[in-house]
Amino acid sequence: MYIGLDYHYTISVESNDNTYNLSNITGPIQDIKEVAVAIEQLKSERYFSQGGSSILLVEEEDFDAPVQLLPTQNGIKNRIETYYKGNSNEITENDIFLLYYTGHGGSADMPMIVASEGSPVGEVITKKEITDWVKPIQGKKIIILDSCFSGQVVDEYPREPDERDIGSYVPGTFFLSASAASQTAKEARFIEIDHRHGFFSYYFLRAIGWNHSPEATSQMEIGTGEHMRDITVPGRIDFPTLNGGVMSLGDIYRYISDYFRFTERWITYQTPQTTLGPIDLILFQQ
Amino acid sequence: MKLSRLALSTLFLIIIVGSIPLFAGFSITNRYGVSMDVLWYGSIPSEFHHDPLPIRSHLSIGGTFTPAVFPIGDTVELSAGLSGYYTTRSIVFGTTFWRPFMAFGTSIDMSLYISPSFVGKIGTALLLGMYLPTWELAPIWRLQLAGEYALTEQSQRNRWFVRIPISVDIRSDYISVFAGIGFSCRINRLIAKEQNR
Repeated sequence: MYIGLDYHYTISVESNDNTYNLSNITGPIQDIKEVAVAIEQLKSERYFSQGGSSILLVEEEDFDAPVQLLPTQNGIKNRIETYYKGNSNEITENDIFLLYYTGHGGSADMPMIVASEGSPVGEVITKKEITDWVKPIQGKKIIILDSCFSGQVVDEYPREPDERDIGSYVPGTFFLSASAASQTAKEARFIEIDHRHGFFSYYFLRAIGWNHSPEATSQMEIGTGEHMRDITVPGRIDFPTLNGGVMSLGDIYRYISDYFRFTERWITYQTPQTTLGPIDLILFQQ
Repeated sequence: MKLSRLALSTLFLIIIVGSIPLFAGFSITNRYGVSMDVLWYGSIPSEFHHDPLPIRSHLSIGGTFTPAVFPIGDTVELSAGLSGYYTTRSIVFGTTFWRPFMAFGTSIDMSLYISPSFVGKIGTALLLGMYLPTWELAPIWRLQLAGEYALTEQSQRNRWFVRIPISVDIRSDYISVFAGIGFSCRINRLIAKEQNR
Protein backbone atom coordinates (compact mmCIF):
# COMPACT_ATOMS: atom_id res chain seq x y z
CA MET A 1 0.00 0.00 0.00
CA TYR A 2 1.55 3.27 -1.09
CA ILE A 3 0.26 6.57 0.22
CA GLY A 4 1.56 9.87 -1.10
CA LEU A 5 0.03 13.23 -0.40
CA ASP A 6 0.67 16.58 -1.95
CA TYR A 7 0.29 19.64 0.22
CA HIS A 8 0.09 22.49 -2.18
CA TYR A 9 -1.34 24.82 0.37
CA THR A 10 -0.71 25.32 4.04
CA ILE A 11 -2.84 23.11 6.23
CA SER A 12 -3.51 23.37 9.91
CA VAL A 13 -3.75 20.51 12.38
CA GLU A 14 -5.41 20.73 15.74
CA SER A 15 -3.96 18.52 18.42
CA ASN A 16 -3.91 18.81 22.21
CA ASP A 17 -5.41 22.30 22.12
CA ASN A 18 -2.65 23.47 19.84
CA THR A 19 -2.88 24.32 16.18
CA TYR A 20 0.00 23.49 13.90
CA ASN A 21 0.39 25.08 10.49
CA LEU A 22 2.18 22.87 8.02
CA SER A 23 3.83 24.28 4.95
CA ASN A 24 3.24 23.20 1.39
CA ILE A 25 5.50 20.43 0.10
CA THR A 26 5.41 18.91 -3.34
CA GLY A 27 7.87 16.01 -3.20
CA PRO A 28 5.64 13.24 -1.78
CA ILE A 29 3.71 12.57 -4.99
CA GLN A 30 6.90 11.98 -6.96
CA ASP A 31 8.28 9.92 -4.07
CA ILE A 32 5.34 7.59 -3.90
CA LYS A 33 4.90 7.12 -7.62
CA GLU A 34 8.50 6.12 -8.09
CA VAL A 35 8.56 3.94 -4.98
CA ALA A 36 5.39 2.19 -6.19
CA VAL A 37 6.75 1.58 -9.67
CA ALA A 38 10.15 0.51 -8.39
CA ILE A 39 8.68 -2.01 -5.98
CA GLU A 40 6.18 -3.28 -8.55
CA GLN A 41 9.07 -3.76 -10.95
CA LEU A 42 11.06 -5.67 -8.39
CA LYS A 43 8.06 -7.88 -7.65
CA SER A 44 7.67 -8.77 -11.31
CA GLU A 45 8.98 -11.89 -13.02
CA ARG A 46 11.72 -9.82 -14.55
CA TYR A 47 13.44 -9.53 -11.21
CA PHE A 48 12.25 -11.41 -8.13
CA SER A 49 8.96 -13.06 -9.18
CA GLN A 50 7.14 -12.12 -6.04
CA GLY A 51 3.44 -11.67 -6.54
CA GLY A 52 0.87 -9.80 -4.56
CA SER A 53 -1.58 -7.00 -5.04
CA SER A 54 -0.90 -3.34 -4.45
CA ILE A 55 -2.84 -0.18 -4.02
CA LEU A 56 -1.62 3.32 -4.66
CA LEU A 57 -3.34 6.14 -2.85
CA VAL A 58 -2.35 9.48 -4.28
CA GLU A 59 -3.79 12.91 -3.91
CA GLU A 60 -2.54 15.64 -6.13
CA GLU A 61 -3.54 18.88 -7.68
CA ASP A 62 -3.89 17.82 -11.30
CA PHE A 63 -7.31 16.18 -11.47
CA ASP A 64 -6.97 15.45 -15.17
CA ALA A 65 -4.06 13.15 -14.66
CA PRO A 66 -4.78 9.46 -15.28
CA VAL A 67 -4.23 8.72 -11.63
CA GLN A 68 -7.25 7.80 -9.62
CA LEU A 69 -7.53 10.35 -6.89
CA LEU A 70 -8.84 9.58 -3.51
CA PRO A 71 -12.49 10.41 -3.12
CA THR A 72 -11.98 13.42 -0.95
CA GLN A 73 -15.53 13.39 0.27
CA ASN A 74 -14.79 10.19 2.18
CA GLY A 75 -11.57 11.45 3.68
CA ILE A 76 -8.21 9.86 3.25
CA LYS A 77 -8.06 8.46 6.75
CA ASN A 78 -11.33 6.58 6.27
CA ARG A 79 -10.09 5.23 2.97
CA ILE A 80 -6.89 3.90 4.49
CA GLU A 81 -8.71 2.35 7.45
CA THR A 82 -11.28 0.77 5.15
CA TYR A 83 -8.51 -0.70 3.04
CA TYR A 84 -6.80 -2.18 6.08
CA LYS A 85 -9.95 -3.76 7.39
CA GLY A 86 -11.14 -4.96 4.00
CA ASN A 87 -7.87 -6.60 2.97
CA SER A 88 -6.41 -7.93 6.19
CA ASN A 89 -7.95 -11.39 5.64
CA GLU A 90 -6.36 -11.77 2.22
CA ILE A 91 -2.83 -11.53 3.54
CA THR A 92 -1.43 -14.91 4.63
CA GLU A 93 1.35 -15.80 7.03
CA ASN A 94 3.84 -16.09 4.19
CA ASP A 95 3.10 -12.61 2.83
CA ILE A 96 4.63 -9.26 3.60
CA PHE A 97 2.34 -6.29 4.04
CA LEU A 98 4.07 -3.04 3.13
CA LEU A 99 2.85 0.46 3.89
CA TYR A 100 4.91 3.31 2.46
CA TYR A 101 3.74 6.78 3.39
CA THR A 102 5.19 10.07 2.21
CA GLY A 103 3.79 13.32 3.49
CA HIS A 104 3.62 15.50 6.56
CA GLY A 105 4.16 14.27 10.08
CA GLY A 106 4.12 16.09 13.35
CA SER A 107 5.57 15.69 16.81
CA ALA A 108 3.38 14.61 19.73
CA ASP A 109 1.95 11.43 18.20
CA MET A 110 1.18 12.72 14.72
CA PRO A 111 3.26 10.41 12.51
CA MET A 112 0.86 10.72 9.57
CA ILE A 113 -1.05 13.88 8.79
CA VAL A 114 -3.46 13.49 5.94
CA ALA A 115 -5.32 16.34 4.35
CA SER A 116 -8.39 16.44 2.20
CA GLU A 117 -8.26 18.37 -1.00
CA GLY A 118 -9.60 21.85 -0.53
CA SER A 119 -9.76 21.57 3.22
CA PRO A 120 -7.50 23.70 5.38
CA VAL A 121 -7.70 21.20 8.24
CA GLY A 122 -5.59 18.04 8.37
CA GLU A 123 -6.42 14.78 10.07
CA VAL A 124 -3.97 12.88 12.22
CA ILE A 125 -3.32 9.14 12.11
CA THR A 126 -1.71 8.24 15.41
CA LYS A 127 0.84 5.53 16.10
CA LYS A 128 -1.78 3.49 17.93
CA GLU A 129 -4.10 3.65 14.95
CA ILE A 130 -1.35 2.52 12.60
CA THR A 131 -0.39 -0.43 14.80
CA ASP A 132 -3.99 -1.36 15.64
CA TRP A 133 -4.86 -1.44 11.96
CA VAL A 134 -1.98 -3.75 11.04
CA LYS A 135 -2.30 -6.01 14.10
CA PRO A 136 -4.96 -8.34 12.60
CA ILE A 137 -2.93 -8.74 9.40
CA GLN A 138 -1.21 -12.12 9.17
CA GLY A 139 2.35 -12.37 7.97
CA LYS A 140 5.11 -9.85 8.36
CA LYS A 141 4.37 -6.15 8.28
CA ILE A 142 6.67 -3.34 7.30
CA ILE A 143 5.74 0.29 7.78
CA ILE A 144 7.92 2.89 6.08
CA LEU A 145 7.30 6.56 6.76
CA ASP A 146 9.00 9.44 5.00
CA SER A 147 7.66 12.22 7.16
CA CYS A 148 8.81 14.58 9.89
CA PHE A 149 9.15 13.05 13.37
CA SER A 150 8.47 9.63 11.88
CA GLY A 151 10.86 7.92 14.31
CA GLN A 152 8.10 8.05 16.92
CA VAL A 153 6.49 4.98 15.36
CA VAL A 154 9.58 2.78 15.69
CA ASP A 155 9.13 0.40 18.60
CA GLU A 156 11.84 0.04 21.20
CA TYR A 157 13.33 -3.43 21.04
CA PRO A 158 12.79 -4.94 24.51
CA ARG A 159 16.32 -6.00 25.29
CA GLU A 160 15.75 -6.26 29.05
CA PRO A 161 13.04 -8.52 30.54
CA ASP A 162 11.25 -5.68 32.32
CA GLU A 163 10.85 -3.84 29.00
CA ARG A 164 8.82 -6.75 27.62
CA ASP A 165 6.01 -6.15 30.11
CA ILE A 166 5.19 -2.84 28.46
CA GLY A 167 4.02 -4.72 25.39
CA SER A 168 4.76 -2.04 22.81
CA TYR A 169 6.97 -4.38 20.79
CA VAL A 170 4.94 -6.27 18.20
CA PRO A 171 6.84 -9.28 16.80
CA GLY A 172 6.66 -9.48 13.04
CA THR A 173 6.09 -5.74 12.58
CA PHE A 174 9.06 -3.82 11.24
CA PHE A 175 9.51 -0.08 10.89
CA LEU A 176 11.72 2.16 8.82
CA SER A 177 11.48 5.90 9.33
CA ALA A 178 13.04 8.87 7.60
CA SER A 179 14.02 10.62 10.80
CA ALA A 180 14.20 10.25 14.55
CA ALA A 181 11.25 11.14 16.76
CA SER A 182 12.59 14.64 17.37
CA GLN A 183 13.79 15.43 13.86
CA THR A 184 12.18 16.81 10.76
CA ALA A 185 12.57 15.07 7.39
CA LYS A 186 13.82 17.12 4.47
CA GLU A 187 13.05 17.23 0.77
CA ALA A 188 14.81 18.97 -2.10
CA ARG A 189 15.05 19.18 -5.84
CA PHE A 190 17.87 16.89 -6.92
CA ILE A 191 19.75 18.43 -9.81
CA GLU A 192 21.03 15.15 -11.24
CA ILE A 193 17.50 13.81 -11.75
CA ASP A 194 15.74 17.15 -12.18
CA HIS A 195 12.86 16.57 -9.80
CA ARG A 196 11.98 16.73 -6.15
CA HIS A 197 12.15 13.95 -3.59
CA GLY A 198 12.32 13.52 0.11
CA PHE A 199 15.95 12.75 0.93
CA PHE A 200 14.87 9.50 2.54
CA SER A 201 12.81 8.36 -0.44
CA TYR A 202 15.56 9.40 -2.83
CA TYR A 203 18.09 7.16 -1.10
CA PHE A 204 15.51 4.42 -0.52
CA LEU A 205 14.95 4.32 -4.28
CA ARG A 206 18.68 4.11 -4.86
CA ALA A 207 18.96 1.35 -2.26
CA ILE A 208 16.49 -0.85 -4.12
CA GLY A 209 18.12 -0.21 -7.47
CA TRP A 210 16.08 2.65 -8.92
CA ASN A 211 18.60 4.56 -10.95
CA HIS A 212 16.33 7.20 -12.53
CA SER A 213 17.81 6.55 -15.94
CA PRO A 214 15.13 6.62 -18.66
CA GLU A 215 15.96 3.39 -20.42
CA ALA A 216 12.29 2.62 -20.81
CA THR A 217 8.95 4.12 -20.03
CA SER A 218 5.94 2.33 -18.76
CA GLN A 219 2.39 2.90 -17.79
CA MET A 220 1.85 0.53 -14.93
CA GLU A 221 -1.34 -0.68 -13.46
CA ILE A 222 -1.21 -0.84 -9.73
CA GLY A 223 -3.88 -2.14 -7.45
CA THR A 224 -7.50 -1.61 -8.25
CA GLY A 225 -7.23 0.08 -11.58
CA GLU A 226 -5.08 3.00 -10.69
CA HIS A 227 -2.63 3.87 -13.42
CA MET A 228 0.69 5.51 -13.32
CA ARG A 229 1.43 8.17 -15.80
CA ASP A 230 4.33 7.56 -18.12
CA ILE A 231 7.26 7.24 -15.85
CA THR A 232 10.79 6.10 -16.30
CA VAL A 233 11.40 2.47 -15.52
CA PRO A 234 14.96 1.28 -15.36
CA GLY A 235 16.04 -1.51 -17.63
CA ARG A 236 18.79 -3.65 -16.27
CA ILE A 237 19.48 -2.24 -12.86
CA ASP A 238 21.89 -2.95 -10.12
CA PHE A 239 20.72 -3.66 -6.63
CA PRO A 240 23.18 -2.16 -4.20
CA THR A 241 21.49 -3.79 -1.23
CA LEU A 242 21.15 -7.26 -2.74
CA ASN A 243 23.35 -9.28 -0.45
CA GLY A 244 23.66 -13.04 -0.83
CA GLY A 245 20.48 -13.25 -2.88
CA VAL A 246 18.28 -11.27 -0.51
CA MET A 247 17.39 -7.63 -0.09
CA SER A 248 16.77 -7.02 3.58
CA LEU A 249 15.38 -4.19 5.62
CA GLY A 250 18.59 -3.94 7.63
CA ASP A 251 20.76 -3.55 4.55
CA ILE A 252 18.44 -0.88 3.11
CA TYR A 253 18.55 0.96 6.43
CA ARG A 254 22.35 0.72 6.46
CA TYR A 255 22.57 2.01 2.87
CA ILE A 256 20.38 5.05 3.57
CA SER A 257 22.04 5.79 6.90
CA ASP A 258 25.51 5.67 5.35
CA TYR A 259 24.51 8.13 2.64
CA PHE A 260 22.99 10.47 5.21
CA ARG A 261 26.06 10.22 7.39
CA PHE A 262 28.88 10.22 4.85
CA THR A 263 27.47 11.93 1.75
CA GLU A 264 25.03 14.43 3.24
CA ARG A 265 27.17 14.62 6.40
CA TRP A 266 24.13 14.55 8.61
CA ILE A 267 25.29 13.16 11.92
CA THR A 268 22.41 14.41 14.04
CA TYR A 269 20.38 16.42 11.52
CA GLN A 270 18.22 13.61 10.10
CA THR A 271 18.90 10.05 11.16
CA PRO A 272 16.67 7.22 9.89
CA GLN A 273 15.45 4.68 12.41
CA THR A 274 14.55 1.03 12.12
CA THR A 275 13.45 -1.86 14.28
CA LEU A 276 16.43 -3.08 16.29
CA GLY A 277 17.18 -6.55 17.64
CA PRO A 278 18.48 -9.68 15.94
CA ILE A 279 15.63 -10.33 13.49
CA ASP A 280 15.73 -8.91 9.97
CA LEU A 281 13.05 -8.90 7.28
CA ILE A 282 13.63 -9.91 3.68
CA LEU A 283 11.86 -7.69 1.18
CA PHE A 284 13.04 -9.50 -1.95
CA GLN A 285 14.65 -12.85 -2.43
CA GLN A 286 16.15 -14.49 -5.51
CA MET B 1 22.19 -8.24 35.17
CA LYS B 2 23.43 -4.72 34.46
CA LEU B 3 25.42 -4.63 37.72
CA SER B 4 27.01 -8.03 37.14
CA ARG B 5 27.88 -6.99 33.60
CA LEU B 6 29.58 -3.87 34.89
CA ALA B 7 31.46 -5.79 37.58
CA LEU B 8 32.65 -8.42 35.12
CA SER B 9 33.79 -5.90 32.54
CA THR B 10 35.70 -3.96 35.20
CA LEU B 11 37.39 -7.14 36.44
CA PHE B 12 38.36 -8.18 32.91
CA LEU B 13 39.71 -4.76 32.10
CA ILE B 14 41.84 -4.71 35.24
CA ILE B 15 43.29 -8.14 34.43
CA ILE B 16 44.05 -7.31 30.81
CA VAL B 17 45.43 -3.82 31.39
CA GLY B 18 47.21 -4.90 34.54
CA SER B 19 48.99 -7.72 32.74
CA ILE B 20 50.50 -5.49 30.05
CA PRO B 21 53.47 -4.34 32.18
CA LEU B 22 54.17 -7.96 33.06
CA PHE B 23 55.00 -9.14 29.60
CA ALA B 24 56.47 -5.80 28.62
CA GLY B 25 59.04 -6.15 31.42
CA PHE B 26 60.54 -9.30 32.85
CA SER B 27 59.10 -12.71 32.85
CA ILE B 28 56.28 -13.58 35.14
CA THR B 29 54.70 -14.83 31.92
CA ASN B 30 56.98 -16.43 29.39
CA ARG B 31 54.42 -17.56 26.87
CA TYR B 32 51.68 -16.18 24.72
CA GLY B 33 49.13 -17.80 22.47
CA VAL B 34 46.76 -17.45 19.59
CA SER B 35 43.77 -19.53 18.63
CA MET B 36 41.34 -19.55 15.73
CA ASP B 37 38.00 -21.33 15.54
CA VAL B 38 35.34 -22.07 12.94
CA LEU B 39 32.00 -22.71 14.57
CA TRP B 40 28.40 -23.58 13.98
CA TYR B 41 26.50 -20.92 15.90
CA GLY B 42 22.91 -21.51 16.98
CA SER B 43 20.76 -18.64 18.24
CA ILE B 44 17.82 -19.77 20.36
CA PRO B 45 14.94 -17.28 20.07
CA SER B 46 13.13 -16.20 23.23
CA GLU B 47 9.40 -16.58 23.55
CA PHE B 48 8.72 -12.90 22.89
CA HIS B 49 10.39 -13.12 19.47
CA HIS B 50 7.55 -15.39 18.22
CA ASP B 51 10.06 -17.01 15.90
CA PRO B 52 8.80 -20.03 13.95
CA LEU B 53 12.13 -21.84 14.39
CA PRO B 54 13.47 -23.19 17.68
CA ILE B 55 17.03 -22.32 16.65
CA ARG B 56 18.67 -20.16 13.99
CA SER B 57 21.89 -21.43 12.41
CA HIS B 58 24.85 -19.20 11.64
CA LEU B 59 28.52 -19.73 10.88
CA SER B 60 31.03 -18.05 13.14
CA ILE B 61 34.75 -17.49 12.76
CA GLY B 62 37.18 -15.81 15.07
CA GLY B 63 39.92 -16.19 17.58
CA THR B 64 41.71 -15.07 20.67
CA PHE B 65 45.09 -13.51 21.24
CA THR B 66 46.43 -14.31 24.68
CA PRO B 67 49.30 -12.02 25.65
CA ALA B 68 49.26 -12.90 29.32
CA VAL B 69 49.74 -16.44 30.68
CA PHE B 70 50.16 -17.05 34.39
CA PRO B 71 51.39 -20.55 35.39
CA ILE B 72 49.97 -21.94 38.62
CA GLY B 73 52.09 -24.97 39.47
CA ASP B 74 53.05 -27.44 36.75
CA THR B 75 49.65 -28.40 35.39
CA VAL B 76 47.46 -25.33 35.62
CA GLU B 77 47.73 -21.95 33.99
CA LEU B 78 45.55 -18.90 33.87
CA SER B 79 45.49 -16.76 30.76
CA ALA B 80 43.87 -13.49 29.74
CA GLY B 81 43.32 -12.38 26.18
CA LEU B 82 41.47 -10.41 23.58
CA SER B 83 38.81 -12.14 21.48
CA GLY B 84 37.15 -11.20 18.21
CA TYR B 85 34.50 -13.09 16.27
CA TYR B 86 32.42 -12.54 13.13
CA THR B 87 29.12 -14.39 12.91
CA THR B 88 27.30 -14.54 9.59
CA ARG B 89 23.59 -13.94 9.20
CA SER B 90 21.50 -17.01 9.90
CA ILE B 91 20.12 -19.27 7.21
CA VAL B 92 17.04 -17.66 5.66
CA PHE B 93 13.72 -19.09 6.75
CA GLY B 94 10.58 -17.70 5.14
CA THR B 95 10.87 -13.93 5.05
CA THR B 96 13.28 -13.50 7.94
CA PHE B 97 16.80 -14.21 9.09
CA TRP B 98 18.86 -13.23 12.14
CA ARG B 99 21.32 -10.45 11.60
CA PRO B 100 25.09 -10.93 11.29
CA PHE B 101 27.22 -9.45 14.02
CA MET B 102 30.77 -8.93 15.17
CA ALA B 103 31.90 -9.28 18.76
CA PHE B 104 35.05 -8.09 20.48
CA GLY B 105 36.11 -8.27 24.08
CA THR B 106 38.26 -9.73 26.78
CA SER B 107 38.52 -13.32 27.91
CA ILE B 108 39.94 -15.32 30.78
CA ASP B 109 40.77 -19.03 30.52
CA MET B 110 42.03 -21.66 32.89
CA SER B 111 43.99 -24.53 31.30
CA LEU B 112 44.47 -27.88 32.94
CA TYR B 113 47.25 -30.08 31.50
CA ILE B 114 45.61 -33.47 31.89
CA SER B 115 48.41 -35.30 30.06
CA PRO B 116 51.41 -34.15 28.02
CA SER B 117 49.20 -34.13 24.93
CA PHE B 118 45.79 -33.14 26.20
CA VAL B 119 44.62 -29.89 27.74
CA GLY B 120 41.20 -29.11 29.15
CA LYS B 121 40.12 -25.46 29.16
CA ILE B 122 37.38 -23.57 30.86
CA GLY B 123 36.89 -19.90 30.19
CA THR B 124 34.67 -16.91 30.09
CA ALA B 125 34.59 -13.75 28.02
CA LEU B 126 32.81 -10.46 28.08
CA LEU B 127 32.18 -9.26 24.54
CA LEU B 128 30.56 -6.30 22.95
CA GLY B 129 28.51 -7.48 19.98
CA MET B 130 27.45 -5.25 17.13
CA TYR B 131 24.73 -6.16 14.63
CA LEU B 132 26.27 -5.11 11.34
CA PRO B 133 23.26 -3.70 9.45
CA THR B 134 22.12 -1.50 12.31
CA TRP B 135 25.34 -0.91 14.25
CA GLU B 136 23.38 -1.77 17.35
CA LEU B 137 25.53 -2.73 20.32
CA ALA B 138 24.68 -5.63 22.58
CA PRO B 139 26.78 -7.03 25.45
CA ILE B 140 27.46 -10.76 25.44
CA TRP B 141 28.65 -12.95 28.27
CA ARG B 142 30.38 -16.04 26.91
CA LEU B 143 31.09 -19.29 28.74
CA GLN B 144 33.42 -21.75 27.03
CA LEU B 145 34.71 -25.28 27.45
CA ALA B 146 37.39 -26.64 25.15
CA GLY B 147 39.49 -29.72 24.73
CA GLU B 148 42.89 -29.32 23.04
CA TYR B 149 45.12 -32.06 21.67
CA ALA B 150 48.77 -31.38 20.95
CA LEU B 151 49.94 -31.81 17.37
CA THR B 152 53.60 -31.05 18.06
CA GLU B 153 56.13 -32.00 20.72
CA GLN B 154 56.37 -30.20 24.02
CA SER B 155 60.01 -29.30 23.45
CA GLN B 156 59.36 -27.15 20.43
CA ARG B 157 59.10 -23.39 20.76
CA ASN B 158 55.80 -23.17 18.88
CA ARG B 159 53.39 -25.77 20.05
CA TRP B 160 50.29 -26.46 17.95
CA PHE B 161 47.02 -27.88 19.19
CA VAL B 162 43.80 -28.88 17.53
CA ARG B 163 40.86 -27.80 19.66
CA ILE B 164 37.16 -28.42 19.99
CA PRO B 165 35.38 -25.55 21.73
CA ILE B 166 31.81 -25.68 23.01
CA SER B 167 30.32 -22.38 24.18
CA VAL B 168 27.27 -20.53 25.32
CA ASP B 169 26.58 -16.85 24.67
CA ILE B 170 24.25 -15.21 27.14
CA ARG B 171 22.48 -12.00 26.18
CA SER B 172 19.68 -10.28 28.02
CA ASP B 173 17.25 -11.12 25.21
CA TYR B 174 18.33 -14.60 24.06
CA ILE B 175 20.90 -17.38 24.40
CA SER B 176 23.15 -18.95 21.77
CA VAL B 177 25.06 -22.22 21.77
CA PHE B 178 27.90 -23.04 19.45
CA ALA B 179 30.57 -25.61 18.78
CA GLY B 180 33.23 -26.21 16.19
CA ILE B 181 36.86 -26.90 15.53
CA GLY B 182 39.94 -24.77 15.71
CA PHE B 183 43.65 -24.57 16.13
CA SER B 184 45.73 -22.90 18.76
CA CYS B 185 49.40 -22.15 19.03
CA ARG B 186 51.40 -21.46 22.16
CA ILE B 187 54.60 -19.58 21.59
CA ASN B 188 57.34 -19.55 24.21
CA ARG B 189 59.26 -16.33 24.48
CA LEU B 190 63.01 -16.44 23.94
CA ILE B 191 64.41 -15.71 27.36
CA ALA B 192 68.15 -15.48 27.78
CA LYS B 193 69.30 -17.48 30.79
CA GLU B 194 71.89 -15.98 33.09
CA GLN B 195 75.04 -18.05 33.55
CA ASN B 196 78.02 -17.74 35.84
CA ARG B 197 81.29 -17.22 34.09
